[in-house]
Amino acid sequence: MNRTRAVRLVAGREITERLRGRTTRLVTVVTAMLVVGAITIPGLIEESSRPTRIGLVGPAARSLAPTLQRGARAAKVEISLTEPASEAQGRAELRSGELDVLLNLAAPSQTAEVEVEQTLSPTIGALLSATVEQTRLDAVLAEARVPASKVLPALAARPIAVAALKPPAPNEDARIVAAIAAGLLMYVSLMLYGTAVATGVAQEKTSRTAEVLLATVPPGRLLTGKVAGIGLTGLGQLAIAAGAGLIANAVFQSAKIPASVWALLPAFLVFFLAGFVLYAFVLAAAGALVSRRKSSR
Amino acid sequence: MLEVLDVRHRFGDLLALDGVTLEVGEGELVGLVGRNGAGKTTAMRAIMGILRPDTGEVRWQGNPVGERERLRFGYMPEERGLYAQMRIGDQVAYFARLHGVEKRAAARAATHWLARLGLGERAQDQLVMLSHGNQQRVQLAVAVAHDPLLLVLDEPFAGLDPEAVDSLSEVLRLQGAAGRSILFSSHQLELVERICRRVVVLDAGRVIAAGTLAELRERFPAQLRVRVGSATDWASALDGVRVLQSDEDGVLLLLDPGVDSQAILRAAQRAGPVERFAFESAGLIDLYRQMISP
Repeated sequence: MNRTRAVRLVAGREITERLRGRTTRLVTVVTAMLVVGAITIPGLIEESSRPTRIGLVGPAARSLAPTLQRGARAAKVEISLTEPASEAQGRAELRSGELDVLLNLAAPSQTAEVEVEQTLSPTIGALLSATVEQTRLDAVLAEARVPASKVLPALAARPIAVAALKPPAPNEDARIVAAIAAGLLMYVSLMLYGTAVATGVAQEKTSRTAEVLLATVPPGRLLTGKVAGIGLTGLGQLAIAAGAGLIANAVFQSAKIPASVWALLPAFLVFFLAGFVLYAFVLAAAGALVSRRKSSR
Repeated sequence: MLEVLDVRHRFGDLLALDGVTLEVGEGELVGLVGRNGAGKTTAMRAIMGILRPDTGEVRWQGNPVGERERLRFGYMPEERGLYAQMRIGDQVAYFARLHGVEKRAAARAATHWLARLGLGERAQDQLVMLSHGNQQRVQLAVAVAHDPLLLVLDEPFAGLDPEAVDSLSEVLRLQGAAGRSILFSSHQLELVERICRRVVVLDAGRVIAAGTLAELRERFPAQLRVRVGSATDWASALDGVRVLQSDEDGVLLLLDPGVDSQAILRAAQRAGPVERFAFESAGLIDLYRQMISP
């Protein structure tokens, strides 16, 4: 018999029987749902999150409102501004949860007092600092009768220019995340489907089916067929889960995948498949080492 | 013709096969008998290429047995091994295809053999849903569905009810009549005696006897049944004679080679009126006991 025919038959039986089994279908659906959930739920939670509510107390603080709104738009941060009647009322609103941040500034030259329930988000902190600094600068310039249009270009110009001999690759962060994701994917695939390969081989040996098979099919081809059949079923499940995840991401726009990551996809697939096949054969060999229940003469 | 030539195999300190030589001709049913641990399964596994013997050779039609030859062999191991969750129709067809049968022909063969073995209605059932006896029938269907030239069956009758034994015996007889070579092991010696043309007896990894029942009988002392009125103890003192059995049917004597049966007759006549004096053919069970007795 043609060498590949036995491999195809063994692999075909594995795929057919596994797809016929309820467990495979259930695991496929559950995995896809978990992936879709992991992608969409954070997006949904984020979407439902409200803007940061900032209370402005004191005349100077109230004058910050337009600058704060402009800064928030530029930083893509959602804020809502209120003006409590007094510092005491603002603090009460902060305690009751109606406010997230209370900014108290009597005069531009003074230090702004910011009160929060527990912690101040770094983004909001940076926004408030920049706004107060800008306002203070505007006040100083106005007092010195220097037009802002003369000073601001000088501030906008880059004071230093940095030239790196080995600049980091573009989208390096995205690449690192993609590499970690690929490693995790390999780990999960081997945990789920590599183990299935080892278990499948061990079961065949302990159930003595291997004895009937080995009377016809050489061990190497039998093992290759098992690895191909169980591996392809597993990778098919993974592909369905990944496809569902990509569709969910496209619909909910949860994360933006840089074009450079897509460019890495062919290389990733080659190394992933090569790695999976290598490990799957090692695991299959480990499964074949499982001792039979009984060795008869 | 299958030839097993001087095959030796050792498992650690245990010599499982010690120069086993046997042959199975075309259309011949050969019974392989021996006590547990005699080496029957190891010999069959060596024939099927599941283990490689340390020395010796297995030949088919004069050529060393390789992968191509084994595609035309059918095997039924002692410990049955099939896929528990797989439908039996698919299962029989799958194993036939592994032996090189094309898809449609394999499906037809599966349908034919399952119907032939009384499982036609259950082709869509998973193996695990069948009784032990029916699972054994499926295992037989797997062994024969690809129309093998040689059948190697390890304890095919073990655990079967009388009806299934008859059905399987008939299948083997027909396969033999169709020119297939069949080697099977069994502890049911009366069955082996009934359906086999030749018998090979293994003990401690060695062939201690091989041949037809008639040939085996010639190797062992004759058994003589004598009834002399009510006397039963007259034969105990005779030289070269062993009393195997003594009851109302007289005595059953085992004669050493060269013992004159006429001298026995005269001794019987002296003891009383001789009502019966006849040689009895030893069955395989008797022969087997004599062969393995120390």
